[in-house]
Amino acid sequence: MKKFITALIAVMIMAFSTVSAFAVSVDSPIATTEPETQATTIVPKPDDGNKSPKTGSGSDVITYLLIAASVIGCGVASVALVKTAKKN
Amino acid sequence: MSKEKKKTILIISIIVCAAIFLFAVGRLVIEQLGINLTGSTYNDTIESYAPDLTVGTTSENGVYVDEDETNATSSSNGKSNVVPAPPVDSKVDFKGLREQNPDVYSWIYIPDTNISLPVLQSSEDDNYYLDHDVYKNYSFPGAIYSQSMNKKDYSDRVTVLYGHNMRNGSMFANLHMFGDESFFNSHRYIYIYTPDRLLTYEVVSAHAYDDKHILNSYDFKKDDVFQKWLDLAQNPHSLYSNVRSGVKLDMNSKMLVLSTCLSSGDGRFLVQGVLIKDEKTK
Repeated sequence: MKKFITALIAVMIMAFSTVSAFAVSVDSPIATTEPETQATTIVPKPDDGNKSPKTGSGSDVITYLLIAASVIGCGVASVALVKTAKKN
Repeated sequence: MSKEKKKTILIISIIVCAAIFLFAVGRLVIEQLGINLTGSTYNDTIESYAPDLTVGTTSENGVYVDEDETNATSSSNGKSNVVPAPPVDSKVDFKGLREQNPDVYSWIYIPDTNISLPVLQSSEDDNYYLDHDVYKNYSFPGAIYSQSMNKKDYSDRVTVLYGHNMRNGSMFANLHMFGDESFFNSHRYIYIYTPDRLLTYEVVSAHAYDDKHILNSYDFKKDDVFQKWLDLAQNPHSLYSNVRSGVKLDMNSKMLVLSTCLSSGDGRFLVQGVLIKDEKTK
């Protein structure tokens, strides 16, 4: 059980770190790579697509669905757990 | 299955569901905080670098005196409802802004809207400011920006500026106010400040359009292509549109297209203006 919870926490940390908003970037105080001797050339990235930039307000539908599903899942599992405990 | 095993599975399920719940709620909260932070960042930017163009305030000498006075409309209480314009000598502190970010090259101001914002263009990535604010921080609302196909002096036949249609009314969301006929009729002008000029554009039309990339799809150097665009500006094929009659457009016209997303669907909402005045600022 302990092993499982530890693994679960590890998976959660990894999942959160993939989301840029949750990821923490830490600058190393020690230089680990050789400094570049030549100035880097900036390569412009033109928009050569045939679609106009997407300037919508973003959709939170999936996030709300996840919240609803997790609440339902939590509720169902809790009820089942209580029933199991009562049988004992 | 043993009771103990069943119990363990149920506990695990509850933990997983709780973790998903926390993750989703956290995501929403962080997203909202980011949007609020960007909003206050832009308010601070206006107060610091363009105090004369603060949203919702009007300058004492800011009443636009138009030659034919058609900018004035009568409100229900009988008072003249003149839409104020910014003073010619409004000081946008471009020097200060450029110290923060050299990509800032102009400022857009539309009276009676939330739109009083710096305009940027990245030389590295045409869509960098789709999700980066004026200080180059990642932010979903991004900034108002043009792409490298457009010159920064607004000398192109068609200049396109992009901005998000934010649900909280920030960035270019207020462009949709031009979809309302009475607002459209009473608000004729869009103002662009550059470091040494004030450009006044008269709004020709506001209309829904498809998601075609305008500058990549049309070669406006060709007169016939440009003429077709002018025809579209004056006669958009859209039910969601307002058009001002009597505005003259010709081959010398300099068009400004403000582009944002529609509230639903894949289309865009365009507000098109034509340059009518180019003044030196003090």
